[in-house]
Amino acid sequence: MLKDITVGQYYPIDSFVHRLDPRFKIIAVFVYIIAAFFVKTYIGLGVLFAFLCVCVAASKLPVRMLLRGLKAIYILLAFTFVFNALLSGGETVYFSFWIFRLTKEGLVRAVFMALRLVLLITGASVLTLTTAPITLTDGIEALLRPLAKIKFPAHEVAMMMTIALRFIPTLMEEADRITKAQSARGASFDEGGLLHRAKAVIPLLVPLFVSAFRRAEELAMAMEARCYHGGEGRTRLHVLKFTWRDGVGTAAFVALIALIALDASVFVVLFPMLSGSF
Amino acid sequence: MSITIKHLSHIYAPGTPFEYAALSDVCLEIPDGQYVAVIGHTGSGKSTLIQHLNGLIRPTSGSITVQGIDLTEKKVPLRELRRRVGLVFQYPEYQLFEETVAKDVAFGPGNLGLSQEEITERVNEALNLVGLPESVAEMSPFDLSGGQKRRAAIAGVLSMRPEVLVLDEPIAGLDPLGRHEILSLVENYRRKYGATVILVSHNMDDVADIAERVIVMNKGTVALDGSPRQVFSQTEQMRSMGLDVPQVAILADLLRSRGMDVPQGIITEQEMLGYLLDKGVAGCSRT
Repeated sequence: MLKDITVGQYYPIDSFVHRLDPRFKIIAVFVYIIAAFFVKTYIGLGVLFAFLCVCVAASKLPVRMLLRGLKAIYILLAFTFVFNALLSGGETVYFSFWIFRLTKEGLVRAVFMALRLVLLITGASVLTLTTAPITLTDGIEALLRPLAKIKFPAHEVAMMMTIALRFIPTLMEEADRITKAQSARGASFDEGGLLHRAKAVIPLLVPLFVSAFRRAEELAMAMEARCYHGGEGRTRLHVLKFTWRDGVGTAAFVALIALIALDASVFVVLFPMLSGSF
Repeated sequence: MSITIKHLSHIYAPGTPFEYAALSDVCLEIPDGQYVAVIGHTGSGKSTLIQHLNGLIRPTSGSITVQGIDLTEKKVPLRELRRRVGLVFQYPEYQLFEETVAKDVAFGPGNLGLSQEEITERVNEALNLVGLPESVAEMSPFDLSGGQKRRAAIAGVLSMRPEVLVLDEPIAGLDPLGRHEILSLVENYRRKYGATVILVSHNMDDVADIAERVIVMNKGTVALDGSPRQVFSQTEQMRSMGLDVPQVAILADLLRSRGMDVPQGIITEQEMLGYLLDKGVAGCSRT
């Protein structure tokens, strides 16, 4: 299960998308998500899908990786589909039971909502699959920096995120090791009732917490020993730069926004048959 | 009863870009009661190999039978297997979790479903074996010193009275006294119960002293397998795998290069001392 979550997992290859400025990528994903919510028609959805395909092609990510990310949300997908299909109402009723009514309109809407969710998740995982976590937090820090004017600790927040991300694999490894060590002492984590199972995790959690605190203390000491004192006047190893790639990306996104805006206003008028606005 | 490993291979994360063959075609036969040292540098497959021994991971291919239990079968009696094969992980002190040392040591026997008297008896015996005084039993394991914590953690495995005791670098990060204490408690346990001991170690001097057999792992395969004497006389081959030989073997090589006719197979301090005294080097004598 844990290994199925592709959101937040970096796929280390070299591509056009991998080399884009993280600041651009973060903004782009926001725009993409907002666009996905503005889309009202299947045509708009098609435009969004075509755009996503171009992004994925430019990122050289294996489609398998992206699809694996969807495994984590299939329950959410199923719920979205079923509720939209049964509760939307409409004229052409196929089947009805108690408060549920399966209608043609409901089905069309359910497919639309499910596809929108798939596009959202896949789009967001393109960001995390093509951007190393550290680069991502660099981008977030740069984007939050203007907020320093209102005393928002942008650097500190970014540093905390960096450290948290840095320690996820370490703690996972540690958890795996402790699980194995306790299993070797005859512990079992997957049998017995709920209470038994809840008790069974104590031998995992206590050592995991102890070691997390120990690591935190050691890290704080090591940072202080190297004179870390917050973001004030700190220079960086990798300075973020906008390149021609980000220019190309911006142009592509302006085109996307234009198309989605068109979709929201024009297509509905031009092709009322096809679009059936939602 | 023994451990039989045939053509064992293990591949991590198959079918992903992170695919990695940790073991390939390992064949081993370890008879009862043998003291075996497994050495090899980081990533040579030692840890993967020993985790197979109590079913924590399953072979990708090949077969492994431990104390008569076939690990390739669909339903492996895991509890039975883990009672018979005790595995002490690297830095075992990080697995301590109970309020008191005694309760922590009792965790393993408790999981075996033993009676309360039996558990108490085993806990006392295990603490005794690892040389922790009774006053420590009621202390929090987190208040102990580093060496004591490690011994308490090892007691947690010994209290299950395994027939096969597997230790992954039990002396890493300890001072010389701590190392000696750990190795002698392992030896005591082995004597008392006639257990098979499989010890992963980087300390060649200790290995040369205590093990009956040395298995050298390299890139997921068994590179050398034999008595310490046989293995450690292959100085060149050991070096090419990024491994050391005992200090005494290095000294023997140096003496040979200076024209002294030191026989092959001298690997411990005692043997070297004996040889030098017999030679009457630099006016030494046995008296």
